[in-house]
Amino acid sequence: MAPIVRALVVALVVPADQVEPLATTIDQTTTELVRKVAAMPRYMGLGIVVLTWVFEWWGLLHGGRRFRHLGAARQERQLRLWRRAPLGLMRDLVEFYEKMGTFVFWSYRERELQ
Amino acid sequence: MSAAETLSCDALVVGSGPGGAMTAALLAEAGRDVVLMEEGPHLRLSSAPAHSLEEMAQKYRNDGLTPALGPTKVTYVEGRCVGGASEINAGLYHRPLAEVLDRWAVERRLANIAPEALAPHIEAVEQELGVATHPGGIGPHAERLVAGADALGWRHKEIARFWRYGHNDPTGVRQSMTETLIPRALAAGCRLLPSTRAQRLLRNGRGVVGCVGRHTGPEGRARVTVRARATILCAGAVHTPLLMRRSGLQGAVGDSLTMNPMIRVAARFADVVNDPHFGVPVQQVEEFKPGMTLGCSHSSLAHLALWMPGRPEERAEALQQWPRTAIFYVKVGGSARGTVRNLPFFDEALVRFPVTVEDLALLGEGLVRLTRLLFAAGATEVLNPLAGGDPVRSTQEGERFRGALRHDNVSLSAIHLHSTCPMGGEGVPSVTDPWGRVRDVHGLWVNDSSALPDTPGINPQGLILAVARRNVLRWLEGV
Repeated sequence: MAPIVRALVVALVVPADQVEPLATTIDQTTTELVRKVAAMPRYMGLGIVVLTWVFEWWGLLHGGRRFRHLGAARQERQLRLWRRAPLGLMRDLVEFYEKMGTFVFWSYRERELQ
Repeated sequence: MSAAETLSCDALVVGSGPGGAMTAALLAEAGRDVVLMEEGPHLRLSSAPAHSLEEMAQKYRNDGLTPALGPTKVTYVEGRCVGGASEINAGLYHRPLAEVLDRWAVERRLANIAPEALAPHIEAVEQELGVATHPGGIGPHAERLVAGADALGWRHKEIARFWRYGHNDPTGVRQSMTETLIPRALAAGCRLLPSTRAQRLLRNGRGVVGCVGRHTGPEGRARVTVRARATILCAGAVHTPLLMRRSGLQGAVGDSLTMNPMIRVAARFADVVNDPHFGVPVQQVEEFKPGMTLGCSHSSLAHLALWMPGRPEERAEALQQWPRTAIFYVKVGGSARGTVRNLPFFDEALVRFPVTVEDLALLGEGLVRLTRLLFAAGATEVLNPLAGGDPVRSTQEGERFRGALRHDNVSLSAIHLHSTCPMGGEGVPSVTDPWGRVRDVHGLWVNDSSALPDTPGINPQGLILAVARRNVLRWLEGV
């Protein structure tokens, strides 16, 4: 799960030119997000875990590789598809990682900047 | 605690938030043998910075990720630690609104909640816990709200807080339950069982004679049985009804959840408005209460980031202007009634709250008003909180919020949940009588936000403490 979440954090939350310099912050954000999913009400946390794996393998079906191994442009395309998906659960998954990832990432950045 | 344990007491209090802490302190000080059971850990108020990831992990239920299901996404937060919500909130104190209490007194046949009946308890709460305004003024963020409200002729108010400041201490200390009533209860002999989840009530025919809990500690898990002459539920608007329903007490329990849906917006100004050292800004617009409140919200970098639209690069660039950006909110009464149910096989609450189109319309109207206020206060841009919405750059553009909120383009939050076990007088559909005694069940009381008849339209902590105090003193009179 963590490698998928890390790929989502990089794609949704981190400015492209900051990925390398902020690798530690990205790792912290990933760990915290995985922990938060585990802390959610189980009926929701389990759903997010399952949907996260569906998202990962969706890349293989539509881009030839699992999401975490796709290039940036294909990752962006998959995210765009899920953001506009007719199924609310698909839109909600991307929104969850974008919002929660942003909150956690910038919590760590705020601490580093102080 | 590693082996099964059985305790006996006069009064078992389940939940240690404001209602439970007040109940335990007063009963223990009156010489009763009290056990206080709390699901979360016993931590110091200063164990984590306020509103931080650490605090969410330590003290929030589910790390702060608790959803109410329905056509619109609503997330709410609950404290899960000794002291409950008082350990994680801003400590805002608002005197109950007389018009609301009068309405409850008539509609719910609750003469004992009329303003004159509750006044001595409100005054006692203010004196015993300490209520104060910030000695250093209201700060630049709240000053904007004041400037905008003054320009429009709207009433506004600095909200006091449960806080004590020393002579040379402008920071002061929030008067949470672990700083006030919990130490009083412990000093009077109350036995505290932290990290102990109440699993089910012990039933004896039509009565309740205690509770079975599960303690989780470094040594593992252990079953705890507490036998009590009186069991008082103070586990909050979700977990009080949940425990009752899990124990076979159903009926209308958990059927009438109320909450205050809230939407936040970030606004940019030409000069600095965000002082990270000032703490939570405490100004509110009173003009539209109790149905609608406009106010200021905590605006750390992480919270601001949530409201910055666009790609990560655009967000990072926008955040470079964070000192000139701050978050404001619109909160409405909420016309809907939600439910709290046990989710089979998960041992968790299923909270449903159907935000109505009327609520969305009212929130939209609130955004129109807030936008008007912010531009009157000198805002240069209001970031659109609706999915895919463009920034708003004038009062005229803000008019487009009217009628624009739909179930699928908005995410709401809520912080105050109430009314899942409402009190009421004879002939009024209610779970408890006017003094918190659960109807038709011997030995069981409710003394927390669950018992409020409706949303009070204000930060409810002072009201919950006052009602809890009133009830306990009545019980001690033996009436």
